[in-house]
Amino acid sequence: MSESLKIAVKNLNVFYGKKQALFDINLNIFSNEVTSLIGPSGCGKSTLIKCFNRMNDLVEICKYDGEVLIDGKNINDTSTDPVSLRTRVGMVFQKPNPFPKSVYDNIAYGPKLHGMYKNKDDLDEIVVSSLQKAGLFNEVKDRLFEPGTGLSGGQQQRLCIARALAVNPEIILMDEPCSALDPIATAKIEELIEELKEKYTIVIVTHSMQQAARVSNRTAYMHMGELVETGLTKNIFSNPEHAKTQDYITGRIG
Amino acid sequence: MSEQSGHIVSSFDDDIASIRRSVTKMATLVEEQYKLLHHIIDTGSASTVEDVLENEPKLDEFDGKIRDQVITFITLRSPMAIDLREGLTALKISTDLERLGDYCKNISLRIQALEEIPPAEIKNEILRMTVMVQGQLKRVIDAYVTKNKDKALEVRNADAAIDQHYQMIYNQIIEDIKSKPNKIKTLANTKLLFTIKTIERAGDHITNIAEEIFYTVTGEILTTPRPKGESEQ
Ligand SMILES: Nc1ncnc2c1ncn2[C@@H]1O[C@H](COP(=O)(O)OP(=O)(O)O)[C@@H](O)[C@H]1O
Ligand SMILES: [Mg+2]
Repeated sequence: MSESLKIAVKNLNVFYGKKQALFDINLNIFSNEVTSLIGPSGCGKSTLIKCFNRMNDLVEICKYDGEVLIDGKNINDTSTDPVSLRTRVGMVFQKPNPFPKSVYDNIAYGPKLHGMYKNKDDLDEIVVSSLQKAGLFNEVKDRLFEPGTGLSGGQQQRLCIARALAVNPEIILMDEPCSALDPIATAKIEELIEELKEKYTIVIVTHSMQQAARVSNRTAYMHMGELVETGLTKNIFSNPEHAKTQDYITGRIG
Repeated sequence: MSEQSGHIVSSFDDDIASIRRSVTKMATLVEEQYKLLHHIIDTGSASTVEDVLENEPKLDEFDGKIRDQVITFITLRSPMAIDLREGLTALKISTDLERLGDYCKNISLRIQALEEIPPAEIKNEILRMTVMVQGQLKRVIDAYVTKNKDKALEVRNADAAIDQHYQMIYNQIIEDIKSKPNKIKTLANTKLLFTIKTIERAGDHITNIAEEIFYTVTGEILTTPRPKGESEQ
């Protein structure tokens, strides 16, 4: 499989007020791959992935320079509509955050908002197929009209993934998606990630080295707002080039 | 990156240190065995052969102990990068050390079973070859203890001299067989041929260890061919 560039980050600097959070980041992310971002808390992982769907626009003090290109197009151009950008670039957060609505309505929400369906049957079809893609349908098919918040933690997280899938994204960003889940629920999400990368480009922030090693093709190591090293996951975890990376993955710095 | 700072979880460092201690102790015992072997070749001492045989099971114990330590280490610590290499290398080195110990025992028994005392010039050359192996062993242990990749490379390069020496004694023994066609002599000389081949193989296992050390320290597998002494027999 020849690799094709999906997201290109070029000389990106991000500031929250006077404080600089990211320093001259250059990073390539490829289609149909899982890229994991690792690094100590506060190093800027969340800040970086929020640049991929302009979530930082919502933070008033946040300013940036540099470029983020998706399919070669600068997403910060005035011609890019942030709302439609966010349908192309879905996001799943650390804590599952289903809406206080039924399972069905959680999934239907996005397609309704963006008018992405023709009729009721069409919407039903989107809901069912999204739940199937997220590996959740069989577990909730009899509870579609019960509150999403009544599901288990792992199910809620897969519900949030289904919700992201419902609007047909190209890229899925996951910010520590398993940190609130038990090992079985985590394994289900990891299995899901493996399946999803066939169709989507996935970027995952994780604090678990083992998880990064298990799920990702490429890994980027960040430290204090800088991108220290990026490469194939198997190389990063077996023989990293930078001493800082090695110290982090082997538990020598916090 | 040879100077590593400690882990945040300090018992992680203790685990590695204790694996390294076992490997070093095992290697030191092998070194001791080769000292005894030298004495056996020199004097034919039966009691020294006993000593070698008595030490041998201790090497198997070390091998088992190191395997247990490494499995526990990998299971409980999920080591990455240099730490993982440290564990895996300990396993491979202990296998090489176990072989080295085995060879020592085999040679001792073979020497003891010799039909007659070898000619002085051949015996002296075999002793010299044993000293070379002892020196290599000492240097490879030093490279391991100090995590020194350059010392490991020196050991790897020096093995060619043992190969050359082997070839030289081989020719000498063949000449001896040709010059005095006598059945007893030929039997003894055949055992000597096996003996020197085994000593030469011991050198190869030391080279393996040197390569393992290089890999642990650098993460790189040596791909250049080992320097070779003349033809292979
Ligand atoms: N909304 C914000 N306002 C001000 N500072 C922020 C904001 N979000 C993040 N930061 C700062 O930016 C840096 C990077 O944070 P973040 O991207 O959340 O790191 P990570 O996800 O790697 O833990 C931190 O120093 C953090 O305090
Ligand atoms: Mg974060």
